[in-house]
Amino acid sequence: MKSRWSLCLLIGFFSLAVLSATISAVTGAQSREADDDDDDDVLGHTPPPGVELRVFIHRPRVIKPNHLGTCTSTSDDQVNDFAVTRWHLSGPITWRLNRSTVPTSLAGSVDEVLNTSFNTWYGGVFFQGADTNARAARFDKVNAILWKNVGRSTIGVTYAWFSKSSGEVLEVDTLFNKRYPWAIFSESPDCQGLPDAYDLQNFATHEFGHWIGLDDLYDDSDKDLTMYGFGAGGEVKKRTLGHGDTSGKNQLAP
Amino acid sequence: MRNRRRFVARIVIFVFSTCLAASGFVQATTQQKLSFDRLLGEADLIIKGRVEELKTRQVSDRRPMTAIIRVSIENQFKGPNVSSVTIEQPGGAVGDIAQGVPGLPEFSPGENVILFLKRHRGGAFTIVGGKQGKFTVKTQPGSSEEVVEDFAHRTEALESFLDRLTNMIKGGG
Repeated sequence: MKSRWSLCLLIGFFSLAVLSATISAVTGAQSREADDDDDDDVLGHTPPPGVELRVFIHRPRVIKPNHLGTCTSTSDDQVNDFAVTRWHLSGPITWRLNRSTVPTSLAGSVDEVLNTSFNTWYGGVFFQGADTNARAARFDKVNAILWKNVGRSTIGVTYAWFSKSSGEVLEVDTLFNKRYPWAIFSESPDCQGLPDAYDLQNFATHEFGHWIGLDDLYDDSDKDLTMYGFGAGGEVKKRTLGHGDTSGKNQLAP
Repeated sequence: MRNRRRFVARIVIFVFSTCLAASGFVQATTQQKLSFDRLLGEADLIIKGRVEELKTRQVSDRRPMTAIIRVSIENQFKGPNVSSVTIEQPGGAVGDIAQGVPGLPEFSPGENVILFLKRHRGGAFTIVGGKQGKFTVKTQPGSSEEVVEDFAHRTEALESFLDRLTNMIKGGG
């Protein structure tokens, strides 16, 4: 019995050591990322002046001024671009929130904001169900929304399970990154003095676009559409749909 | 004695599972835009190669699927010499059920690619910056010129891209 406990303790210490090493490595990588301010375009195209291409994802303590959002509202959302995923909704869908994971900065308004974001796409399709205790993306017949620590360059991630033959959505889960400061700004373009925080309505509207079957857009000309795949702290322009977003939702209407 | 072995085996499995979970994989929907310098700096391995095989791993019915992509290497620009790499990311399909994660690159067998890869514990690689770390090598329609296409479908001549890449690596990028 005694030897079993000794063995258990030994393995416990080993686990802790390995986990510490993992955490150190991740923290180190984050610091290196924060120190790198170069923002050249990937294929050498320089963004035009005034175009916000910089994106989020730095932990609060390492945010630098030039990583902050612009707090500007949509300026050119008349571009008629959209892209579709391999899935689509075929009818009403019930979503559930893991309330225990919601950051305290959002408490009290989270239900209203999430419902507003869903209804930006379609009314009468998304219904809020009872809360869930889901703590990860799982194919468990629960369309879960929760906050969790995810990849350091990710602000939100949506997992969709669907039928390969029909494209019909079977389940969708959205995880918002718990590493970053979340807020609910009052009205666009008011950042409420928190340009380094991430507006829930802005990013929820984008993520829920994936629920209906819209894909990310990456062309610079699409930067003011809701489905543009890059985002920033302080950003609110994804709250309202642009021309391309509306065309996409009309095509995919369940 | 047998009980003790079983107990030790369980503990070992727990430790390995915990370590794998802690290492995590890249997930992406809304991404940070990475400069070419950043892509280069964050990559442990940069290769030009060909997608040989796509598979899906699913630990259980409820766990997210993992897409496994095996790529043979034609040229290597950064990192230790290897002949092929295995990339893992959320996604894939089992039977009629498929799993999609917007923001992650998609692959098809036979595709020629340039990849910026990050090594994770366990030896598997992920793509740096989601779609941003994958470039597809294509031949321009109506000509024999090879081009590189990025995640936003912007193209650049392959030669010019490789010159830029190798110069930046030589320059310590």
